[in-house]
Amino acid sequence: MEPRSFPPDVFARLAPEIYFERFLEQGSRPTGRKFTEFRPLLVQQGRQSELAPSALGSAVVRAGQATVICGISGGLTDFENEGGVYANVEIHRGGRSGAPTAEEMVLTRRTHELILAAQIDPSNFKIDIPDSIEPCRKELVLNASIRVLSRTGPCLDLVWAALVAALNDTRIPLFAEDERTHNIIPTCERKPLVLPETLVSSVSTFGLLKSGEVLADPDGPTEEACISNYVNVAKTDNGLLTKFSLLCTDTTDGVDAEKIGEILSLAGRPVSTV
Amino acid sequence: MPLHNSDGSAEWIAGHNGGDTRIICSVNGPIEVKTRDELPTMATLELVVRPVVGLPTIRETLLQDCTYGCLRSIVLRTQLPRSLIQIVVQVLDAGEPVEYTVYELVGAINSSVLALANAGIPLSGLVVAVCLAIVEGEIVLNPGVDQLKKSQSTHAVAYKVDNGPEEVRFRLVMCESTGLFTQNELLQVLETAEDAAREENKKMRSMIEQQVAESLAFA
Repeated sequence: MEPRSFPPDVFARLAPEIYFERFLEQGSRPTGRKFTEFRPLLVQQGRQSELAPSALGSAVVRAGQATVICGISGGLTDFENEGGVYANVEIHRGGRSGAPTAEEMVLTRRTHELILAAQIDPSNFKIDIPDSIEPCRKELVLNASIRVLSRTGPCLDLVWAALVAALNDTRIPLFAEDERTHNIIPTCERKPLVLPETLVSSVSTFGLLKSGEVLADPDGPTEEACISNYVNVAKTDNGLLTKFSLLCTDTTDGVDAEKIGEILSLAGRPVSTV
Repeated sequence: MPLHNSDGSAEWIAGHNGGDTRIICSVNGPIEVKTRDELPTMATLELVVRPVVGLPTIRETLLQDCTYGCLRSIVLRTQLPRSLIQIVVQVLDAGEPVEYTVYELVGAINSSVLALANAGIPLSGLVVAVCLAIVEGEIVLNPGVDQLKKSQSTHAVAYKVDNGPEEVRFRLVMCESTGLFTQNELLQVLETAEDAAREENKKMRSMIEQQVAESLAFA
Protein backbone atom coordinates (compact mmCIF):
# COMPACT_ATOMS: atom_id res chain seq x y z
CA MET A 1 0.00 0.00 0.00
CA GLU A 2 1.34 3.41 -0.92
CA PRO A 3 1.22 6.22 1.63
CA ARG A 4 -1.51 8.71 0.90
CA SER A 5 -0.76 12.37 0.80
CA PHE A 6 -3.21 15.24 0.91
CA PRO A 7 -3.06 18.88 -0.06
CA PRO A 8 -2.58 21.13 3.04
CA ASP A 9 -6.20 22.37 3.20
CA VAL A 10 -7.58 18.83 3.13
CA PHE A 11 -5.06 17.67 5.75
CA ALA A 12 -6.05 20.65 7.93
CA ARG A 13 -9.65 19.46 7.90
CA LEU A 14 -8.83 15.78 8.43
CA ALA A 15 -6.39 16.21 11.31
CA PRO A 16 -6.53 19.81 12.57
CA GLU A 17 -4.59 19.02 15.79
CA ILE A 18 -1.56 17.58 13.96
CA TYR A 19 -1.68 20.32 11.34
CA PHE A 20 -1.83 23.02 14.03
CA GLU A 21 0.97 21.40 16.07
CA ARG A 22 3.35 21.50 13.08
CA PHE A 23 2.88 25.26 12.87
CA LEU A 24 3.31 25.79 16.61
CA GLU A 25 6.56 23.77 16.61
CA GLN A 26 7.96 26.27 14.14
CA GLY A 27 6.70 29.23 16.17
CA SER A 28 4.05 30.30 13.67
CA ARG A 29 0.31 29.98 13.10
CA PRO A 30 -1.76 28.78 10.11
CA THR A 31 -2.79 32.39 9.50
CA GLY A 32 0.88 33.44 9.23
CA ARG A 33 0.62 35.73 12.25
CA LYS A 34 2.92 35.74 15.28
CA PHE A 35 1.55 34.29 18.54
CA THR A 36 0.76 37.70 20.01
CA GLU A 37 -0.18 39.45 16.80
CA PHE A 38 -3.72 40.71 16.18
CA ARG A 39 -5.36 41.03 12.79
CA PRO A 40 -5.41 44.68 11.76
CA LEU A 41 -8.84 46.06 12.59
CA LEU A 42 -10.24 48.44 10.01
CA VAL A 43 -13.15 50.57 11.17
CA GLN A 44 -15.27 52.62 8.82
CA GLN A 45 -17.81 54.90 10.44
CA GLY A 46 -20.94 55.69 8.49
CA ARG A 47 -20.21 59.45 8.58
CA GLN A 48 -23.77 60.34 9.54
CA SER A 49 -25.08 57.29 7.82
CA GLU A 50 -23.83 57.52 4.28
CA LEU A 51 -23.68 53.73 4.47
CA ALA A 52 -27.33 53.43 5.52
CA PRO A 53 -29.28 56.67 5.03
CA SER A 54 -32.28 55.65 7.12
CA ALA A 55 -30.15 54.69 10.13
CA LEU A 56 -29.20 57.11 12.91
CA GLY A 57 -25.65 55.80 12.82
CA SER A 58 -23.69 52.97 11.27
CA ALA A 59 -20.27 51.42 10.97
CA VAL A 60 -18.42 48.63 9.20
CA VAL A 61 -15.53 46.74 10.75
CA ARG A 62 -13.19 44.47 8.88
CA ALA A 63 -10.53 42.13 10.19
CA GLY A 64 -9.03 39.51 7.90
CA GLN A 65 -11.85 37.81 6.02
CA ALA A 66 -14.53 38.80 8.52
CA THR A 67 -16.82 41.81 8.18
CA VAL A 68 -19.23 43.15 10.77
CA ILE A 69 -21.88 45.75 9.98
CA CYS A 70 -23.71 47.72 12.66
CA GLY A 71 -26.71 49.95 12.00
CA ILE A 72 -28.47 51.95 14.69
CA SER A 73 -32.15 52.77 14.50
CA GLY A 74 -34.26 54.62 17.03
CA GLY A 75 -37.58 54.15 18.74
CA LEU A 76 -39.56 55.43 21.71
CA THR A 77 -40.63 53.58 24.80
CA ASP A 78 -43.31 54.50 27.33
CA PHE A 79 -41.53 52.75 30.17
CA GLU A 80 -39.44 54.80 32.54
CA ASN A 81 -35.68 54.06 32.72
CA GLU A 82 -36.01 51.61 29.84
CA GLY A 83 -34.33 53.91 27.33
CA GLY A 84 -30.87 52.86 26.22
CA VAL A 85 -28.89 50.90 23.67
CA TYR A 86 -30.04 47.38 22.86
CA ALA A 87 -27.94 45.21 20.59
CA ASN A 88 -28.91 42.23 18.49
CA VAL A 89 -26.19 40.15 16.87
CA GLU A 90 -26.82 37.97 13.85
CA ILE A 91 -24.29 35.75 12.16
CA HIS A 92 -24.92 35.11 8.48
CA ARG A 93 -24.13 31.60 7.37
CA GLY A 94 -25.04 31.18 3.75
CA GLY A 95 -28.65 32.33 3.61
CA ARG A 96 -30.10 29.99 6.23
CA SER A 97 -32.51 31.76 8.52
CA GLY A 98 -34.30 30.51 11.59
CA ALA A 99 -34.14 30.70 15.35
CA PRO A 100 -31.00 32.39 16.67
CA THR A 101 -28.14 30.04 17.41
CA ALA A 102 -26.59 29.69 20.86
CA GLU A 103 -23.54 31.64 19.68
CA GLU A 104 -25.70 34.56 18.50
CA MET A 105 -27.55 34.64 21.82
CA VAL A 106 -24.33 34.51 23.84
CA LEU A 107 -22.78 37.27 21.71
CA THR A 108 -25.88 39.44 22.08
CA ARG A 109 -25.91 38.99 25.85
CA ARG A 110 -22.17 39.65 26.15
CA THR A 111 -22.54 42.84 24.11
CA HIS A 112 -25.44 43.87 26.37
CA GLU A 113 -23.29 43.29 29.46
CA LEU A 114 -20.52 45.44 27.95
CA ILE A 115 -23.05 48.22 27.31
CA LEU A 116 -24.23 47.99 30.93
CA ALA A 117 -20.63 48.02 32.21
CA ALA A 118 -19.84 51.14 30.14
CA GLN A 119 -22.58 53.06 32.02
CA ILE A 120 -23.84 55.36 29.29
CA ASP A 121 -25.44 58.44 30.86
CA PRO A 122 -29.25 57.84 30.94
CA SER A 123 -29.85 61.55 30.19
CA ASN A 124 -28.87 60.71 26.58
CA PHE A 125 -32.16 58.87 26.23
CA LYS A 126 -34.47 61.32 27.98
CA ILE A 127 -36.67 63.34 25.65
CA ASP A 128 -36.60 66.99 26.43
CA ILE A 129 -39.47 69.02 24.96
CA PRO A 130 -39.20 72.63 26.08
CA ASP A 131 -42.73 73.74 25.10
CA SER A 132 -44.49 70.84 26.69
CA ILE A 133 -46.32 71.63 29.93
CA GLU A 134 -46.39 68.04 31.09
CA PRO A 135 -43.01 66.33 31.48
CA CYS A 136 -42.49 63.79 28.72
CA ARG A 137 -42.37 60.21 29.95
CA LYS A 138 -41.19 58.70 26.71
CA GLU A 139 -37.57 57.62 26.38
CA LEU A 140 -35.38 56.92 23.42
CA VAL A 141 -34.38 53.37 22.57
CA LEU A 142 -31.48 52.77 20.21
CA ASN A 143 -31.60 49.39 18.52
CA ALA A 144 -28.21 48.27 17.27
CA SER A 145 -28.54 45.63 14.60
CA ILE A 146 -25.16 43.96 14.25
CA ARG A 147 -24.56 41.53 11.43
CA VAL A 148 -21.52 39.33 11.14
CA LEU A 149 -20.78 38.46 7.54
CA SER A 150 -18.34 35.68 6.68
CA ARG A 151 -17.55 34.65 10.23
CA THR A 152 -14.07 33.14 10.51
CA GLY A 153 -13.66 32.81 14.28
CA PRO A 154 -14.80 34.18 17.64
CA CYS A 155 -16.11 37.66 16.91
CA LEU A 156 -17.03 39.50 20.12
CA ASP A 157 -14.10 41.88 19.53
CA LEU A 158 -15.33 42.85 16.06
CA VAL A 159 -18.96 43.11 17.19
CA TRP A 160 -18.00 45.51 20.00
CA ALA A 161 -15.74 47.59 17.74
CA ALA A 162 -18.60 47.93 15.25
CA LEU A 163 -21.06 48.96 17.97
CA VAL A 164 -18.72 51.56 19.48
CA ALA A 165 -17.96 53.04 16.05
CA ALA A 166 -21.68 53.14 15.16
CA LEU A 167 -22.57 54.82 18.47
CA ASN A 168 -19.87 57.42 17.84
CA ASP A 169 -21.41 58.02 14.44
CA THR A 170 -24.97 58.20 15.80
CA ARG A 171 -26.79 61.52 15.64
CA ILE A 172 -30.10 61.34 17.48
CA PRO A 173 -32.95 63.60 16.39
CA LEU A 174 -34.38 66.25 18.69
CA PHE A 175 -38.07 65.78 19.38
CA ALA A 176 -41.02 68.16 19.43
CA GLU A 177 -44.69 67.89 20.27
CA ASP A 178 -47.03 67.96 17.33
CA GLU A 179 -49.49 70.77 17.98
CA ARG A 180 -52.44 69.09 16.35
CA THR A 181 -52.12 65.49 17.47
CA HIS A 182 -50.03 66.06 20.63
CA ASN A 183 -47.83 63.21 19.54
CA ILE A 184 -44.09 63.36 19.93
CA ILE A 185 -42.37 63.62 16.57
CA PRO A 186 -38.70 63.83 15.55
CA THR A 187 -37.42 67.07 14.05
CA CYS A 188 -34.68 67.55 11.45
CA GLU A 189 -32.21 68.70 14.08
CA ARG A 190 -29.76 66.09 15.31
CA LYS A 191 -27.26 65.84 18.12
CA PRO A 192 -24.50 63.34 18.93
CA LEU A 193 -24.65 61.04 21.95
CA VAL A 194 -22.56 61.90 24.99
CA LEU A 195 -20.55 58.73 25.38
CA PRO A 196 -18.43 57.90 28.44
CA GLU A 197 -14.73 57.15 28.15
CA THR A 198 -15.39 53.64 29.42
CA LEU A 199 -17.34 52.86 26.25
CA VAL A 200 -14.33 53.39 24.05
CA SER A 201 -12.78 50.15 25.16
CA SER A 202 -11.40 47.52 22.89
CA VAL A 203 -12.23 43.88 23.38
CA SER A 204 -9.37 41.47 22.78
CA THR A 205 -9.84 37.73 22.44
CA PHE A 206 -7.11 35.28 23.38
CA GLY A 207 -6.81 31.55 22.99
CA LEU A 208 -4.87 29.59 25.56
CA LEU A 209 -3.16 26.43 24.40
CA LYS A 210 -2.92 23.35 26.60
CA SER A 211 0.77 24.10 27.09
CA GLY A 212 -0.07 27.58 28.40
CA GLU A 213 0.99 29.49 25.29
CA VAL A 214 -1.13 32.59 24.61
CA LEU A 215 -2.46 33.16 21.08
CA ALA A 216 -3.89 36.59 20.35
CA ASP A 217 -7.02 36.90 18.24
CA PRO A 218 -7.67 33.25 17.28
CA ASP A 219 -9.10 32.98 13.79
CA GLY A 220 -9.74 30.36 11.15
CA PRO A 221 -11.18 26.83 11.29
CA THR A 222 -7.95 25.13 12.41
CA GLU A 223 -7.36 27.43 15.38
CA GLU A 224 -11.01 27.23 16.36
CA ALA A 225 -10.99 23.44 16.21
CA CYS A 226 -7.87 23.15 18.36
CA ILE A 227 -8.34 25.87 20.99
CA SER A 228 -10.71 25.16 23.87
CA ASN A 229 -9.62 27.88 26.31
CA TYR A 230 -10.68 31.44 25.65
CA VAL A 231 -10.18 34.76 27.40
CA ASN A 232 -11.99 38.01 26.53
CA VAL A 233 -10.69 41.28 27.91
CA ALA A 234 -12.34 44.67 27.50
CA LYS A 235 -9.83 47.39 28.28
CA THR A 236 -10.29 51.15 28.12
CA ASP A 237 -7.63 53.52 26.79
CA ASN A 238 -6.54 54.43 30.32
CA GLY A 239 -5.94 50.80 31.28
CA LEU A 240 -9.14 50.10 33.21
CA LEU A 241 -10.97 46.84 32.59
CA THR A 242 -14.72 46.63 32.01
CA LYS A 243 -14.94 42.93 31.30
CA PHE A 244 -12.74 39.93 31.92
CA SER A 245 -14.18 36.58 31.01
CA LEU A 246 -12.13 33.44 31.08
CA LEU A 247 -13.07 29.84 30.41
CA CYS A 248 -10.12 27.47 30.65
CA THR A 249 -11.13 23.85 30.80
CA ASP A 250 -8.15 22.18 29.23
CA THR A 251 -4.74 23.30 30.51
CA THR A 252 -1.97 21.18 32.02
CA ASP A 253 -0.68 23.77 34.49
CA GLY A 254 -3.76 25.94 34.98
CA VAL A 255 -3.82 29.71 34.69
CA ASP A 256 -1.81 31.58 37.32
CA ALA A 257 -1.54 35.29 38.14
CA GLU A 258 1.55 35.62 35.93
CA LYS A 259 -0.33 34.27 32.91
CA ILE A 260 -3.26 36.61 33.55
CA GLY A 261 -0.83 39.53 33.85
CA GLU A 262 0.67 38.54 30.49
CA ILE A 263 -2.75 38.38 28.85
CA LEU A 264 -3.81 41.73 30.31
CA SER A 265 -0.62 43.43 29.11
CA LEU A 266 -1.27 42.15 25.58
CA ALA A 267 -4.90 43.35 25.60
CA GLY A 268 -5.83 46.55 23.83
CA ARG A 269 -5.54 46.05 20.09
CA PRO A 270 -4.76 48.93 17.77
CA VAL A 271 -7.66 50.18 15.66
CA SER A 272 -7.28 52.06 12.42
CA THR A 273 -10.20 54.23 11.39
CA VAL A 274 -10.90 54.94 7.77
CA MET B 1 -31.56 15.09 47.62
CA PRO B 2 -34.56 17.42 47.26
CA LEU B 3 -36.07 15.76 44.15
CA HIS B 4 -36.88 12.07 44.58
CA ASN B 5 -37.87 11.19 41.02
CA SER B 6 -34.57 12.20 39.45
CA ASP B 7 -31.30 10.26 39.50
CA GLY B 8 -29.60 13.05 41.42
CA SER B 9 -30.50 16.50 42.66
CA ALA B 10 -29.24 19.33 44.80
CA GLU B 11 -30.46 22.66 46.08
CA TRP B 12 -28.05 25.56 46.48
CA ILE B 13 -28.92 28.33 48.91
CA ALA B 14 -26.53 31.25 49.12
CA GLY B 15 -26.33 34.97 49.63
CA HIS B 16 -25.47 37.61 52.14
CA ASN B 17 -28.21 36.62 54.60
CA GLY B 18 -27.56 32.94 53.89
CA GLY B 19 -30.65 32.45 51.76
CA ASP B 20 -31.25 35.14 49.15
CA THR B 21 -30.50 32.92 46.17
CA ARG B 22 -32.15 29.53 45.85
CA ILE B 23 -31.38 27.23 42.95
CA ILE B 24 -32.50 23.66 42.49
CA CYS B 25 -30.91 21.25 40.04
CA SER B 26 -31.84 17.79 38.81
CA VAL B 27 -29.65 15.31 36.97
CA ASN B 28 -30.91 12.33 35.01
CA GLY B 29 -28.41 10.01 33.50
CA PRO B 30 -27.07 7.97 31.95
CA ILE B 31 -30.30 7.66 29.97
CA GLU B 32 -31.13 6.87 26.37
CA VAL B 33 -30.05 9.52 23.88
CA LYS B 34 -31.83 10.57 20.70
CA THR B 35 -30.03 9.20 17.63
CA ARG B 36 -29.53 12.75 16.38
CA ASP B 37 -27.58 13.75 19.52
CA GLU B 38 -25.76 10.45 20.04
CA LEU B 39 -21.97 10.59 20.25
CA PRO B 40 -20.24 7.26 19.59
CA THR B 41 -17.30 7.85 21.92
CA MET B 42 -18.79 9.89 24.75
CA ALA B 43 -21.91 10.90 26.63
CA THR B 44 -24.03 13.81 25.46
CA LEU B 45 -24.29 16.49 28.12
CA GLU B 46 -27.50 18.51 28.06
CA LEU B 47 -27.97 21.53 30.26
CA VAL B 48 -31.02 23.77 30.63
CA VAL B 49 -31.17 26.80 32.90
CA ARG B 50 -34.67 28.02 33.71
CA PRO B 51 -35.41 31.45 35.18
CA VAL B 52 -37.75 32.14 38.12
CA VAL B 53 -40.54 33.42 35.85
CA GLY B 54 -41.26 32.77 32.19
CA LEU B 55 -39.16 31.18 29.49
CA PRO B 56 -35.36 31.26 29.29
CA THR B 57 -33.95 34.36 27.58
CA ILE B 58 -30.45 35.21 26.32
CA ARG B 59 -29.55 35.97 29.93
CA GLU B 60 -30.07 32.29 30.76
CA THR B 61 -28.31 31.23 27.54
CA LEU B 62 -25.12 32.94 28.73
CA LEU B 63 -25.49 31.34 32.18
CA GLN B 64 -25.95 28.00 30.44
CA ASP B 65 -22.89 28.57 28.25
CA CYS B 66 -20.61 29.38 31.20
CA THR B 67 -21.97 26.55 33.37
CA TYR B 68 -21.68 24.07 30.52
CA GLY B 69 -18.03 25.05 29.99
CA CYS B 70 -17.26 24.33 33.65
CA LEU B 71 -19.14 21.02 33.77
CA ARG B 72 -17.59 19.79 30.53
CA SER B 73 -14.19 19.94 32.20
CA ILE B 74 -15.11 17.54 35.04
CA VAL B 75 -17.64 15.04 33.66
CA LEU B 76 -15.82 11.92 32.45
CA ARG B 77 -17.94 11.67 29.35
CA THR B 78 -15.89 8.94 27.69
CA GLN B 79 -16.92 6.50 30.44
CA LEU B 80 -20.56 6.65 29.34
CA PRO B 81 -20.55 6.56 25.55
CA ARG B 82 -23.83 6.71 23.57
CA SER B 83 -25.86 8.00 26.50
CA LEU B 84 -27.39 11.23 27.72
CA ILE B 85 -26.77 13.15 30.92
CA GLN B 86 -29.57 15.64 31.37
CA ILE B 87 -29.10 18.54 33.78
CA VAL B 88 -31.89 21.00 34.55
CA VAL B 89 -31.16 24.05 36.69
CA GLN B 90 -34.21 25.89 37.98
CA VAL B 91 -33.76 29.25 39.67
CA LEU B 92 -36.25 29.44 42.58
CA ASP B 93 -35.13 32.82 43.88
CA ALA B 94 -32.59 34.90 41.96
CA GLY B 95 -31.65 36.97 45.03
CA GLU B 96 -30.15 39.68 42.82
CA PRO B 97 -31.41 42.44 40.49
CA VAL B 98 -31.95 41.41 36.87
CA GLU B 99 -28.82 43.28 35.64
CA TYR B 100 -26.60 40.95 37.66
CA THR B 101 -26.00 37.27 37.09
CA VAL B 102 -23.21 36.44 39.56
CA TYR B 103 -25.27 34.61 42.16
CA GLU B 104 -27.25 32.65 39.61
CA LEU B 105 -24.08 31.64 37.78
CA VAL B 106 -22.35 30.50 40.96
CA GLY B 107 -25.51 28.70 42.11
CA ALA B 108 -25.99 26.99 38.75
CA ILE B 109 -22.42 25.67 38.78
CA ASN B 110 -22.35 24.53 42.42
CA SER B 111 -25.81 22.96 42.39
CA SER B 112 -25.16 21.04 39.17
CA VAL B 113 -21.80 19.73 40.44
CA LEU B 114 -23.46 18.47 43.64
CA ALA B 115 -26.37 16.99 41.69
CA LEU B 116 -23.98 15.22 39.30
CA ALA B 117 -22.11 13.72 42.26
CA ASN B 118 -25.45 12.76 43.80
CA ALA B 119 -26.50 11.01 40.59
CA GLY B 120 -23.30 8.98 40.59
CA ILE B 121 -22.00 10.38 37.31
CA PRO B 122 -18.22 9.80 37.02
CA LEU B 123 -16.38 13.08 37.68
CA SER B 124 -12.67 13.86 37.48
CA GLY B 125 -13.04 16.38 40.30
CA LEU B 126 -15.26 19.16 41.55
CA VAL B 127 -15.78 22.68 40.29
CA VAL B 128 -16.30 25.16 43.08
CA ALA B 129 -17.63 28.62 42.27
CA VAL B 130 -17.66 31.71 44.48
CA CYS B 131 -19.18 35.15 44.13
CA LEU B 132 -17.41 38.43 44.93
CA ALA B 133 -17.85 42.15 44.39
CA ILE B 134 -15.70 45.22 44.82
CA VAL B 135 -17.64 47.73 46.95
CA GLU B 136 -15.98 51.09 47.68
CA GLY B 137 -12.56 49.63 46.95
CA GLU B 138 -13.04 46.62 49.26
CA ILE B 139 -13.39 43.05 48.09
CA VAL B 140 -16.60 41.56 49.51
CA LEU B 141 -17.33 37.85 49.47
CA ASN B 142 -21.04 36.98 48.99
CA PRO B 143 -22.23 40.59 48.71
CA GLY B 144 -25.77 41.53 49.67
CA VAL B 145 -28.24 43.11 47.23
CA ASP B 146 -27.46 46.64 48.48
CA GLN B 147 -23.74 46.00 48.13
CA LEU B 148 -24.26 44.61 44.61
CA LYS B 149 -26.08 47.79 43.59
CA LYS B 150 -23.29 49.94 45.04
CA SER B 151 -20.48 47.77 43.65
CA GLN B 152 -17.97 48.92 41.04
CA SER B 153 -17.54 45.40 39.72
CA THR B 154 -18.89 41.88 40.25
CA HIS B 155 -16.95 38.63 39.86
CA ALA B 156 -18.00 35.00 39.58
CA VAL B 157 -14.95 32.77 39.84
CA ALA B 158 -14.80 28.97 39.55
CA TYR B 159 -11.92 26.66 40.43
CA LYS B 160 -11.46 23.05 39.54
CA VAL B 161 -10.35 20.73 42.32
CA ASP B 162 -9.04 17.37 41.15
CA ASN B 163 -9.85 14.20 43.05
CA GLY B 164 -6.97 13.33 45.34
CA PRO B 165 -5.24 14.45 48.53
CA GLU B 166 -6.28 17.53 50.51
CA GLU B 167 -3.51 19.85 49.34
CA VAL B 168 -4.26 19.62 45.64
CA ARG B 169 -3.85 22.60 43.36
CA PHE B 170 -6.86 24.70 42.56
CA ARG B 171 -7.05 25.43 38.86
CA LEU B 172 -8.87 28.50 37.64
CA VAL B 173 -11.61 27.33 35.26
CA MET B 174 -13.89 30.29 34.88
CA CYS B 175 -13.89 33.97 35.71
CA GLU B 176 -16.69 36.35 34.73
CA SER B 177 -15.85 39.86 35.85
CA THR B 178 -18.01 42.82 34.90
CA GLY B 179 -17.91 46.46 35.93
CA LEU B 180 -14.98 48.80 36.22
CA PHE B 181 -11.80 47.44 37.78
CA THR B 182 -8.02 47.52 37.51
CA GLN B 183 -5.59 44.71 36.80
CA ASN B 184 -4.42 44.65 40.43
CA GLU B 185 -7.99 44.49 41.70
CA LEU B 186 -8.67 41.53 39.43
CA LEU B 187 -5.60 39.66 40.70
CA GLN B 188 -6.58 40.38 44.32
CA VAL B 189 -10.10 39.15 43.61
CA LEU B 190 -8.71 35.90 42.21
CA GLU B 191 -6.52 35.46 45.29
CA THR B 192 -9.48 35.99 47.65
CA ALA B 193 -11.65 33.76 45.47
CA GLU B 194 -9.16 30.89 45.72
CA ASP B 195 -9.18 31.02 49.54
CA ALA B 196 -12.98 31.16 49.53
CA ALA B 197 -13.13 28.26 47.07
CA ARG B 198 -10.96 26.16 49.41
CA GLU B 199 -13.49 26.68 52.20
CA GLU B 200 -16.40 26.01 49.86
CA ASN B 201 -14.70 22.85 48.60
CA LYS B 202 -14.46 21.48 52.16
CA LYS B 203 -18.19 22.11 52.66
CA MET B 204 -19.14 20.50 49.35
CA ARG B 205 -16.95 17.47 49.99
CA SER B 206 -18.40 16.92 53.45
CA MET B 207 -21.91 17.20 51.95
CA ILE B 208 -21.08 14.52 49.37
CA GLU B 209 -19.44 12.30 52.03
CA GLN B 210 -22.52 12.58 54.22
CA GLN B 211 -24.78 11.74 51.28
CA VAL B 212 -22.70 8.67 50.37
CA ALA B 213 -22.65 7.47 54.00
CA GLU B 214 -26.43 7.79 54.22
CA SER B 215 -27.00 5.94 50.99
CA LEU B 216 -24.84 2.95 51.96
CA ALA B 217 -27.16 0.07 52.73
CA PHE B 218 -24.99 -1.55 55.38
CA ALA B 219 -23.52 1.54 56.98
